[in-house]
Amino acid sequence: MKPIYVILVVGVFMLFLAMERVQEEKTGYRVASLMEDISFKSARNQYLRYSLGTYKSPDKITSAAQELGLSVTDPRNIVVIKVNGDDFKNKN
Amino acid sequence: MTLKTRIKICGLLCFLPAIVLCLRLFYLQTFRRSELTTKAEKRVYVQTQRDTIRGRILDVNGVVLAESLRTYAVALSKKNVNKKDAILAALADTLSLHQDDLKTLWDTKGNFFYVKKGVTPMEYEELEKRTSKEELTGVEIEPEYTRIYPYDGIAHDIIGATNSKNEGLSGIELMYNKELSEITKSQRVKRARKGGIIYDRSQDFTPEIADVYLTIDALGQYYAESTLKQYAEKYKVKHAMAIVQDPYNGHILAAASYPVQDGMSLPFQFTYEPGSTFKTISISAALDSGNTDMNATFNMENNNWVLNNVVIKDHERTKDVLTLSEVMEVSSNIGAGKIAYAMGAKTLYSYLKKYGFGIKSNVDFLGESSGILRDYTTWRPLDTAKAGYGYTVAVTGVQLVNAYSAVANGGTLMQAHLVDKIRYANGEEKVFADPIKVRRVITPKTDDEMRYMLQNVVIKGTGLPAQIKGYTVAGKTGTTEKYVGGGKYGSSHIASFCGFVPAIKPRFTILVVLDQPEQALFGTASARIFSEIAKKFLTLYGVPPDQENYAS
Repeated sequence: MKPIYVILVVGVFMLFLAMERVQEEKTGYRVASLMEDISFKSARNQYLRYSLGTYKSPDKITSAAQELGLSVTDPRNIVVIKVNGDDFKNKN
Repeated sequence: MTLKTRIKICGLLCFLPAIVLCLRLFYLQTFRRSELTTKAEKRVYVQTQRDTIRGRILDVNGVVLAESLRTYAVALSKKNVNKKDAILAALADTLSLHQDDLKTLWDTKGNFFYVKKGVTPMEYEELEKRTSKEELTGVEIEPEYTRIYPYDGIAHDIIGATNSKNEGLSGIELMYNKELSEITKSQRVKRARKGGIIYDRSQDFTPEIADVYLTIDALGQYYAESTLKQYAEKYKVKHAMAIVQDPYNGHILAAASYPVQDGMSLPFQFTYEPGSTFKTISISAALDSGNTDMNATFNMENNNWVLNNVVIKDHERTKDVLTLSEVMEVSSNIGAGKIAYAMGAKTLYSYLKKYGFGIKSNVDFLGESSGILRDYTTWRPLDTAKAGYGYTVAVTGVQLVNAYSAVANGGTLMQAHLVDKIRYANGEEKVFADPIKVRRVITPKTDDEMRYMLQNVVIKGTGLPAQIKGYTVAGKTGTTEKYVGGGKYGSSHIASFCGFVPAIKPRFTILVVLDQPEQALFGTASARIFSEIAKKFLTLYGVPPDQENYAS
């Protein structure tokens, strides 16, 4: 094989390696951006869940219930429903 | 000049730059290698931030009590700010701050200063958009974690606190810091444009943090805390605590303190002389050891029993002679003192040890106190008598409630549990709260007799306010004069009530303690709080009534 062809093959191979390297960096950058995006969105979702959770806190529900004139029932109102011989305790 | 010479000179001129270049490269790579490598490293690579991630703390039903939220710290680097007024306006708008305050900060602080910490992801997003749109520079944003409590800080005293580095400082957060947290390594990553980084596989990371589940029931804890707070404020007490336990498995369902302080849980740390609530312990010991029986009677000595030249009195004079049950019902110090004295220090001490007094209950709470129980060989006869009605010994709430649970469950001391389990990231679980029988303390016969007497205390004795319509209740009041040191007792009191409900097949053992109420209170005030908390728990757990027309 003539040296010129050897140089050409090596040159093409080197070019391929260089392009692959560039592509790898580009993909790495995109992956890193996406991971950051996921991380940010997870944090935002967690914060939204937290905000939602605070509305479910017993203190807030109790305050809202009291404004509506509701209160925790007397335990004597508990009804025990028997299904197939088993006791199913039903909280009123 | 010959042609050959000319060619040589041209060849030399052509090679000269290459030679110079080679020499320069040699110089750079040999003599300035470390300096230039560092420079290149700084331009190409960046070190990621060392971070601490932290697991969650949940209640027994999986309700999240504490978790870490990714937030941001926003700072300004004055020298990098391109448009001062626009930056301050953007920060004020997006972070809900006053522009005047920001201007003051700008004028008074140095080049770098924090504008706001704990910035939410939404605020961060708004700020990013605004700075990018208006091409503002100089804003530095650092990621951080903020510990959040979705249920408004329920059980905050048990959970404890963390610092801004996400490290546990007190309570469960500190005790299980190793399981809850993981420090992520600082990594060398390739820098990209606009402050981004270029991903490679070495950055893949699966955290191995665990979640800690408590035996606490969040809703029950809320009821205990809110009821305790309501009455503590009403009676203007210095401290108060309430603790609810399942007598059959030792699980602590609620442990409330007033006032609430991070990592300072009174039911596990506050020690006090239990007073008359301790009569249950001493009288059960006397019954079980055969030193007294249900038919025994006790002369009340005209409410003036002298022992070692010290007069022991009851709160009020009742009858001349009391039966054993009546000693409990009217809470007679003379009766309980005589019983303890007759039983002897050694026997009483051995039962106190069997009930778990004088040693830590190992309830998984850092800083738990062991109480005070001196060796019986140092007791004077008067000390033995006083121990019978709850003086000369100091207990913690968890010790007393655990001892009452032994009476409630038929006579077996159970291991108290505060931590249910730890769930690791790989799904494995380490369960802590399996029921563990520590030892049998009293026989079933003694237990039945104690249950009968404790019910009588609530039906016709000092524990009347503990009654709950539809349910049998057993318990004992306690009022203690506070020890002020030097062998003297002051005018302030500790009012308490400990009992279990339903009395026949108990579901909950509850202790309520009020420390130094402003007005003179006795165990009856605590009994009222006991009743309120018990009602909430009976409803919450759907415990059906066990008594028709029990109380009027």
